[in-house]
Amino acid sequence: MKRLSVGSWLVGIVALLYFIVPLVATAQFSFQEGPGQPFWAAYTSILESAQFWQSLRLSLGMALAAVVIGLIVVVPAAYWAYLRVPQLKPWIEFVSILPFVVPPIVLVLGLVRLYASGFGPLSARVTMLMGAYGVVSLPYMFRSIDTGLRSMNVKALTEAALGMGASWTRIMFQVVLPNIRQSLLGGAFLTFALIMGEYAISSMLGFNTFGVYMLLTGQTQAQGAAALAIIAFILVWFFVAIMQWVSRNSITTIGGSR
Amino acid sequence: MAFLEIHQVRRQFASQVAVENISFTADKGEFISLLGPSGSGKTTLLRIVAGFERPDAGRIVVDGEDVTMMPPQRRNMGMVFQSYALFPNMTAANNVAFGLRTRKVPNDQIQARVRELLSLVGLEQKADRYPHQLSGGEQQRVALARALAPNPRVLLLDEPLSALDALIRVNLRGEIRRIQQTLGITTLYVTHDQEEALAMSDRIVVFNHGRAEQIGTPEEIYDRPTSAFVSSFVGAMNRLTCQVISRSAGTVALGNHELQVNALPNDVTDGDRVELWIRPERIRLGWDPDDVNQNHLQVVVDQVMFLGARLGIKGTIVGGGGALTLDVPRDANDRGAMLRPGASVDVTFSRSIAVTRASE
Ligand SMILES: Nc1ncnc2c1ncn2[C@@H]1O[C@H](COP(=O)(O)OP(=O)(O)OP(=O)(O)O)[C@@H](O)[C@H]1O
Ligand SMILES: [Mg+2]
Repeated sequence: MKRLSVGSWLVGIVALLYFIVPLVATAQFSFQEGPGQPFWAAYTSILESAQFWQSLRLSLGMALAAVVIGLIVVVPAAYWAYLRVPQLKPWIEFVSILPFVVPPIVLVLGLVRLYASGFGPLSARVTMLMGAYGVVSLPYMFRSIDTGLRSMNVKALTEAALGMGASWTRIMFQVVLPNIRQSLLGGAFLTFALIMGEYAISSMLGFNTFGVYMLLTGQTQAQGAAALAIIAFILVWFFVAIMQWVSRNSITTIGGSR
Repeated sequence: MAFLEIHQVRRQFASQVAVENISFTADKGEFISLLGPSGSGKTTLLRIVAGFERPDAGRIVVDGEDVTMMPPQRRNMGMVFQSYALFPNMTAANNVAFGLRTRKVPNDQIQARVRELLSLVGLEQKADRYPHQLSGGEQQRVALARALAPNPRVLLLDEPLSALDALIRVNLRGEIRRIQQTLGITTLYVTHDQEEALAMSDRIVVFNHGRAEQIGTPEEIYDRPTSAFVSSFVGAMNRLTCQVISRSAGTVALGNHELQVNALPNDVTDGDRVELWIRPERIRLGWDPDDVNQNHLQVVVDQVMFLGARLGIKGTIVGGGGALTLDVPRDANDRGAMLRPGASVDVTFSRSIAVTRASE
């Protein structure tokens, strides 16, 4: 076995502390209840609040919607760019980082102006929020999928499949998706985590998402906010695990094409 | 009757003409190599035949059916890529089965066909390996099996061996040829390796700047090249520039030497410049002054290269005429020749060599 040097141990330990200490401190603080209360009091009060569940449901729905929108829009677009217009890739990359550059307030004002003029159901505030999240998560989705496509020989694999009479759906589900599975997951995780913690856009559009609820809790009850952070942490990992499990059991069986 | 016909095919990218009015036909079961330097349009033509690229003009006809506008999914052609292009997420067996599944072949037939193909390429033991668990040569065998599985009408290969090392390349090319002959499948084979083209093909199309410079059997291409480009791209060639002394006597001047040739081109007159084309292995060491059918030169050896079975000699002709390359048996030195740098040797070559007008 290769022996790790003292330096790399040191770096590892520092990094570990950097991540663990705030987490442990937060957890510890969340258990410091006043006299006469059980140490889990902060947790029960959070879990019993209706607002918690409402905001959680809203954010979960939004996060899933953003992931789905991202997958449906970005995968075919990026694939097409790789296959047919590789010379456009720099432009697509540029567009994909625009959401980083545009501040949320500008995005929201733009959305409101655009949709307020009346697009029927599209003008609903919920649709606006969903649209905004779709846009905000675009860079994360695109980057991940771009990495995946870069690591496979898109053109040759597609042509090999076409030459053997494969339809575009077959190519998408048996050749493209299975080979970028890791990056799809990566993009979905990032999007999911991003939307679960998002605050600026939802508060401006007047929604009580999970992020907004966390902030409000922080302003009123200190221990409660710490407990909420720990709950959020566990929740995100829980959903990430579920996504991993779902993808393993869906994409690989398609890809194995037994 | 021609099975695959390529009529006046032309393809242009922006201002770059990649393929310019190429026409040839292949009989059923014929193995045709597209040979040419990098960028000469071989891949472009192959992709047009496969349907991945549309020609700007011209037609592709397979078995009497015009397929020029047919999408690649419906052409039923097998393609093998330089990069193998195996599906990384599928085992060797599933890769080979892919083209059968798209054609909705029943599952038990698929299993049998996959086994048959994998044993044809000698990989029945490795059916359950993934591409990353196979060597380059094995991957290319799987790719060949995959292309052949659906019984394609035409097999198309784009430099399938160029990513492999020399020994595997030679083995695999013999094997591709054997399989191709067993199945009797019409094949287009793109390569820039002249040795490969000469060894494998029924006929060769030599490409240069998007044009077909010459089409012929390997012997025709090697022995009777019709252009300077073909003469030096396929095999090595000494091209000696001479001046015609007398057309009627068949004499030319090379430096201070007077040489005899049997056949001068029809359109030259006395004083014109011509080129003698002599393959290095056609030049013999030694000189018999009584043999009047041979031309004689003296050469100062500049360089001796050990090539295994042969020796490659580079020398300079004494009395003017330029450089000369020789390719002699390795035991030439043992038989009394003095082949080392600085030595001067006698060489002879036949009068019946190719002579063309010198290119300006
Ligand atoms: N998609 C394309 N866009 C623009 N130019 C192209 C394209 N494909 C090929 N070309 C050009 O057409 C010419 C012929 O290319 P092609 O790939 O057919 O050559 P080749 O004979 O296969 O060369 P190599 O031996 O290097 O593979 C080249 O000059 C190339 O730059
Ligand atoms: Mg090529």
